[in-house]
Amino acid sequence: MTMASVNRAPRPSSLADVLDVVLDKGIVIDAYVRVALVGIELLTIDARIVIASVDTYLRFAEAVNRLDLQPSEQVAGLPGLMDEMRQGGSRSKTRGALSGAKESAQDFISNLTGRGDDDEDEDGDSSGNGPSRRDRGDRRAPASRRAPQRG
Amino acid sequence: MLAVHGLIRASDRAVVEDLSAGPLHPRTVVGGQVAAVVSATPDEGPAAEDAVPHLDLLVELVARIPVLPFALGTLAPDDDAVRKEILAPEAERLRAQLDALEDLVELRVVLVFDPDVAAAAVAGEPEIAALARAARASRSGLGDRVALGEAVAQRVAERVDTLTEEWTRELAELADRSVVLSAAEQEVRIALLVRRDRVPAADAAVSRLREVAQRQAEIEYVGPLPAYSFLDEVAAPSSPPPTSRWGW
Repeated sequence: MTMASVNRAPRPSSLADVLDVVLDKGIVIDAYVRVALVGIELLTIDARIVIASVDTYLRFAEAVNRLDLQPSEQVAGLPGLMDEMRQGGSRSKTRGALSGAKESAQDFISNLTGRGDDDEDEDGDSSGNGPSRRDRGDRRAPASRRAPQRG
Repeated sequence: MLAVHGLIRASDRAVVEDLSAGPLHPRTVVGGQVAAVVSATPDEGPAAEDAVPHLDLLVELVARIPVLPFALGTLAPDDDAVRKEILAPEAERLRAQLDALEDLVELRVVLVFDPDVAAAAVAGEPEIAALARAARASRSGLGDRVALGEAVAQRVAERVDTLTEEWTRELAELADRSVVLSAAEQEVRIALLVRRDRVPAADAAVSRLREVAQRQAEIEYVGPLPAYSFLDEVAAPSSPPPTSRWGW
């Protein structure tokens, strides 16, 4: 095995992508009475933006027009789109938005329980020494998504 | 309150005691031949930051043993509730699912196409060139620009589809199953259900893919993960398999 050379990550690096893996996925047992599936506050998800189709089309049009007007070595491409990516925070955060745009944006929006604080911790590695999130009273998770209960 | 992270075979539970020290301090609750991996958690439930240690724990387990993952936020008041509501009612089915997953892990490949390169690749096509001329004409309006952009976007999407299929054919062939999780804008996310002994072959295929895709797309490669994307198929063979756009 040549694990070192292949650059396979054990898990996604950004918190948004980790959430994409672990939220609402996994086995379901529908006999819960005392066991529950509890919703979490998705602080990072509100950074995800959905770029509307027309907006995307216009950016592509701009890109092609620029290609036509310039020698091919000077191709500038999609400055508007790239600017927007930078505005939206890190590249990976915006990429997350794009990846979910069609299939899962609705899910994320419906899961969104409100704007989060100013936490920009993209990495999400909470094993560090920072203050525990439990100390921050505004970050309670509402029990908004309990599993259906059956007697 | 207990966070329920996943299920393992009871006979594998020594692996949990053996784990490297993480923030969760997991332990097992055993019921028959199945064990739930749990950890203490505050009553108010998880926050987004809990996602990383939850997944890290499952990833560490699945590197060695079969794991059925629970969704983040699965909470039980005590061991008794875990035994009675999770383990006891479904013990046989759960054990069969774990056995079915014994040699299988999930790998994910994300292809992120460069929009500049993609647009440049289709700009020379006659239809696009004609639309570009119309969009640049003196009396052109927003409609002309949208028409051009729409045509470019469509051609780019077709190109992304074609290249993805071509580039990931080798990976799809060495996987037991594969599925396109999402394909939006210039990003395609693929999950592969791969036998453990074929992971090195997948690694090699991804290395070759990165060579081929150089300058056109970035390739992200993650795993082994629990078989999140294939639980319905492998763990419950009665349900119909999801279809991908290529019918893999």
